[in-house]
Amino acid sequence: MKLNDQKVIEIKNISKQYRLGVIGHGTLYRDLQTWWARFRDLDDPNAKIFDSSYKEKENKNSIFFALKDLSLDINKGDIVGVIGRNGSGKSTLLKILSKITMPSTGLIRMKGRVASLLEVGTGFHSELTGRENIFLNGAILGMRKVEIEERFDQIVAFSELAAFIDTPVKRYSTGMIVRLAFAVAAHLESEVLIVDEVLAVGDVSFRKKCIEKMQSVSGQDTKTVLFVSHDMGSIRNLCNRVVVLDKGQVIYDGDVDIGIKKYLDINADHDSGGVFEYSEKGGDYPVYISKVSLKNKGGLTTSNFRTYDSIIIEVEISGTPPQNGFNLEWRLISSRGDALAFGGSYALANKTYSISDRILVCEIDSLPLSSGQYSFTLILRVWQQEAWSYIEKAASFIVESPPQLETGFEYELSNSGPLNLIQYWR
Amino acid sequence: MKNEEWTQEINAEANNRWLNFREVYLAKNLIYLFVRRDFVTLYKQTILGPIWFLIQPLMTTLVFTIIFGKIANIPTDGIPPFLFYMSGIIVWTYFSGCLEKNSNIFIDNQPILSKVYFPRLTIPISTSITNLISFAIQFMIFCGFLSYYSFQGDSIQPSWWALLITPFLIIQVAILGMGVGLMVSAFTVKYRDLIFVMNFGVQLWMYATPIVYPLSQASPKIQLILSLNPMTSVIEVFRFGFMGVGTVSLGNIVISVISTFAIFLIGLRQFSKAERNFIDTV
Repeated sequence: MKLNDQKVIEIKNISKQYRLGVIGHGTLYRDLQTWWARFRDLDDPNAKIFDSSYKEKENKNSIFFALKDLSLDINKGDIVGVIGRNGSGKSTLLKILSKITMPSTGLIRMKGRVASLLEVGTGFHSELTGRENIFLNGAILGMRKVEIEERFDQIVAFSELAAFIDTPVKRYSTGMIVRLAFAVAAHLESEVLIVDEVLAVGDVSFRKKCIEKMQSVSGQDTKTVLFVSHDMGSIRNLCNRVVVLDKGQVIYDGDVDIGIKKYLDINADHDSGGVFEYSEKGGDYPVYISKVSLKNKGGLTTSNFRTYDSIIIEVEISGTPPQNGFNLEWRLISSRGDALAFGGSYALANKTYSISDRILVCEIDSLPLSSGQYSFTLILRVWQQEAWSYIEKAASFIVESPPQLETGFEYELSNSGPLNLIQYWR
Repeated sequence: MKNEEWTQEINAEANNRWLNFREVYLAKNLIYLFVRRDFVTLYKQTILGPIWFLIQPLMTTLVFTIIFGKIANIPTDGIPPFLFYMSGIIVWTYFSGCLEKNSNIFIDNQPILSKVYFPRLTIPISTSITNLISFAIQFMIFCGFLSYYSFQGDSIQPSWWALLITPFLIIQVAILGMGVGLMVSAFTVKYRDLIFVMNFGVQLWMYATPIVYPLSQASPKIQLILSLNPMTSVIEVFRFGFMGVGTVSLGNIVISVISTFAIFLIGLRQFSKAERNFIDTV
């Protein structure tokens, strides 16, 4: 057996179920009932979860499987990209692997130190100085004291914050905090690294530096990385293996390009002619994007556009936004997964919304796109703060580019790239 | 591949995570850093800073001395009322501090707990240690008043062994506070109502403990009931040690120590159970 064929993580038949619905006196009543039955050594009247004879109909409403009988082996040196739609179970898988929550059934075995980065700067305290936070954050992430001391200078140098290292973090700008947090994270020493979409924040040049740092560590074949991202570009750049999840199961495991294509195919199946409705995801915030409509210049709802058409994105929100002054941002994504463009009401038009605003509209003039499928990822939040509602590929649409009159040449996403730029030849 | 080579196992069926004390020991640096953080940040941006550690118990003692001593005229076993109340209050403050902090563990620390794994027991342990620092300061002030009163010629007889048993009493209080706190924390994950129950529960518990009255004042029947409260014997032993008066019996001490450990083990078990999945319900 070759060194890099060694399994470092073995996941066997993992399931994770959630009980849906509100917790109230009913839950207490059921809990007491269960407890009393167990106490008398009787069958649990509420043990519907594994009982196959139980009526499926009732069951379906209260139990939701985030992961269903999932098995996976990760070998030493693998850099695995885990991709899937929202709710496909990838964050649940990551949480289980990070030991934040336990699986309902199944077994996972791991070898060596496993560090997980579901967030950067976990445990940062604004009253503490940069130096104190490096030690605290490092310890929370599982670094030993000597390791932090050894790497302290490197971390400070990496963060480019040497001058402010003894200043309380509350005096830092958001960007500085992110840099400090990344610097600690980038110096984690572990055989297995589990990374959630943390690289989505931070400024571009610093993000690049982090990815390079990650790659340089993973270049030696001792490091194994599990990486969740919505950015197909970084998955393509970083990973040598892709696992596609859908409805809590692995639907593809293997080659990166094929995996990405599978993932994009699932997304395409969810198209619905210009109107996209979403239900509450049960996130941390009481507000969510409930409906997205794409309209053409004439105000008709459609998902078919032609090159240089205008497009109107109409976003309906439900619930109560926690505060005034929020904004809507979109990213235009091609079906190949590249991020093509960005739009944000605050960043581009200094426009923010208030609690009473229900429908947010953005009109984009003249889409210079090739034939192909595209989509908008939507983020609702206060600019540069945590997302209240985040829907990747919330609204997808098709662009058709008419062939050039004289030559019949056709701009196609797959051949000529996403952009169809107006050009003059002399 | 042999089993021995795996260094970590996550098993849905196994329930042995709560016994992983080695993991907690290895995280001692983290405990230190948590204590440091809590202590350093507690009184940041306050004018009086750490003096609050003294003002709180002194004011409470003063109020108790006036209300229970002067107005209600509750006897204090011949101990100067100020010392009597202060001794009870500083021990009780430590206990209720541990209890209240620990019972909110999951809710207070949700942001960290939902993003990274580290031995969860480090949080209650560091909480108890942070509270211990403020207890130590208050204890020193108490010793100051104690020597003042004895030089004044008051009828108090501090015993030399009192200082020796204080650490054991305090460890018992810490374990009890942690045990009850962890038990409550496990339930608050699901039933937030318990937070409100806790708030007045702690107050009621205080009146079931000889803080504002000496145990000797209660009728034998009530004494028996009160001795089922593990804190009763702790307070009485503490007062007996430092001031020479208190209702102490070996039976009460044994009951108190045994029930403390029983509560601690139950609390630990409930906590480790809740910890496995709390993030799904919080």
